[in-house]
Amino acid sequence: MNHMKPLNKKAAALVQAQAAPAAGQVVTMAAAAVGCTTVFDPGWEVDAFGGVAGLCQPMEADLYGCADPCWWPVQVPDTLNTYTDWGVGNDNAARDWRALQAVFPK
Amino acid sequence: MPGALYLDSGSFHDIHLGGRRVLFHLPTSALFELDSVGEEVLDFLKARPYVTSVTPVTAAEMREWISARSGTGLSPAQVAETVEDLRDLAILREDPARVTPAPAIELADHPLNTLVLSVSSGCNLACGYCYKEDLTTPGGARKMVAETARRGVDLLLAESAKRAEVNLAFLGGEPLTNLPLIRGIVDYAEARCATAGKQVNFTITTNATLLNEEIIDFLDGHRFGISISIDGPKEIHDRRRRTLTDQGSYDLVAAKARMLLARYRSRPVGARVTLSAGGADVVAIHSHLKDEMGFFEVGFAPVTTSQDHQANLSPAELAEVFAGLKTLGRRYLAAAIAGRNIGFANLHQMLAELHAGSRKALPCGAGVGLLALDGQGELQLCHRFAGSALPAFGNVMDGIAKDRLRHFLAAAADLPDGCAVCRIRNLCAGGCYHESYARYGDALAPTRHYCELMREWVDFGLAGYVELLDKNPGFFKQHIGTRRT
Repeated sequence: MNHMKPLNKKAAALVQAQAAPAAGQVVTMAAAAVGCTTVFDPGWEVDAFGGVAGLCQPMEADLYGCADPCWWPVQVPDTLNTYTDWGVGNDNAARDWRALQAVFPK
Repeated sequence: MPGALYLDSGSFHDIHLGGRRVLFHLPTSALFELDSVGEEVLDFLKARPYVTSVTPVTAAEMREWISARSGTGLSPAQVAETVEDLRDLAILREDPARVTPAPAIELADHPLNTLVLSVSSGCNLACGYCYKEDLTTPGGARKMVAETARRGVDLLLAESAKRAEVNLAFLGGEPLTNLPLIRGIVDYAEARCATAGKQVNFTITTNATLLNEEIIDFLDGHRFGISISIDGPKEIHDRRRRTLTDQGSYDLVAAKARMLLARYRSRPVGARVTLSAGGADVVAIHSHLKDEMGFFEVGFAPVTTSQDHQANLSPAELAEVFAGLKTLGRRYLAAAIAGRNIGFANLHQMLAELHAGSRKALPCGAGVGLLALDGQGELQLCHRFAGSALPAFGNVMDGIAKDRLRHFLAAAADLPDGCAVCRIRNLCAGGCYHESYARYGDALAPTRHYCELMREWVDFGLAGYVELLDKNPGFFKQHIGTRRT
């Protein structure tokens, strides 16, 4: 769209869908091994459409996947070396996430 | 640009808002703001009466127009870009536009998510405008028995397929006249849903008269969503919401509602107002219920009656209602710009739909995600049809009459010719089935008595949406994004 600015969500989705070739590129980039996110590059937590549905894994279900192999896309403590007890007893991330605490350098 | 392009004038609705030009794309409900180039090109196309769906605009005419405007800063490249924009939206097209029929609806698989239980046909009030065809006093009521309700819950679970959440809504008559059934079925539904791994959500619409502290705590404990039927200040409420002995019910209802609002913790409580003849002052009603009583939000609906009923709003009163809705709407918008939500459900809901860009092929979820179960175990399109002459769509013993339901929904989605050219057809989709049934005796007739007022109301909402988006876009995230539509 050149002379029409999208206002509501449907209009934005329409424009995005029409720009499909570019969206395809972003999807390809997202699917490539781009490494972990860092606190300095937020934005890679979302998919090419600004949501989370297109991520390689749903980020909620992926919580411990983010912890153990230092995975992408969520920032969590390093449970291999520094905070080995962080998730102990809270096995079901979807159910127990409230019990998970922030950590601070010892 | 190809040799000639046709303007599909029925595919968009454009509005001037202050100095801005907004284009509502009807097939998708997308909203765009045109810049000055876009505006100029659209005006050029619209101002030529022969550029319709049957006469194309040719490239030669376009070039002639552009050269006539050379010196105004409008470049051929910009015009070409705008033409591309309009072609992307099929507003300009290579083939003549025709009235596009709504895509045929074929609901092969539509899981239920809500079952309304009309737990009693009896009510302890005798409101002058009640639409219930089977309404009785509590003593003469046909009450739903536990077995029917349990089968209803089983049916809801079976028909909800993969949905993770189901809703049970309790209505009547006055649902609290059959409280033992409600208590029993809440336990049953919670146990069944826990086994099935589904979330269950309860709602109730009540006239409040039978509430006491113990009942409120029971509802609170199960996180009921509560709507209270109340029509406003005493003089308006008592006009039609009367007891069986013909006393006004306001004093009792207001006292109970205040107790509920002071005690209820789990969810916000809303007021549902029926606007009827002689009591249509929307602003005063809202102010009373929201500011003086403390309801979280207030929703308004004009009374549903046959054409000649005395409670009916006259055409003048109906116009007054919409004018009142706009006055209240302006207050809502002023507050929203300041970051506050003053709880005006009708506009709030419309803004949520405009923000998402919802597009409806059917006016509501009745028959798709929602069915109602009456005391006889019959499945109705919605609770409003319980006890009506509209044939049921199955029953709890034999299940949903899916073929008949599909046929009905397909007929409902196939809007009559008059609707096909209406600019709000994808927001209204013909209007409430029961409204049409009560008014015209045909659930599938459009609610024609509202058409012009509804179009004005939607235009008001569009203008409000664009203004709010401009002045306080955070409002949508804070107050509207969290609401399920």
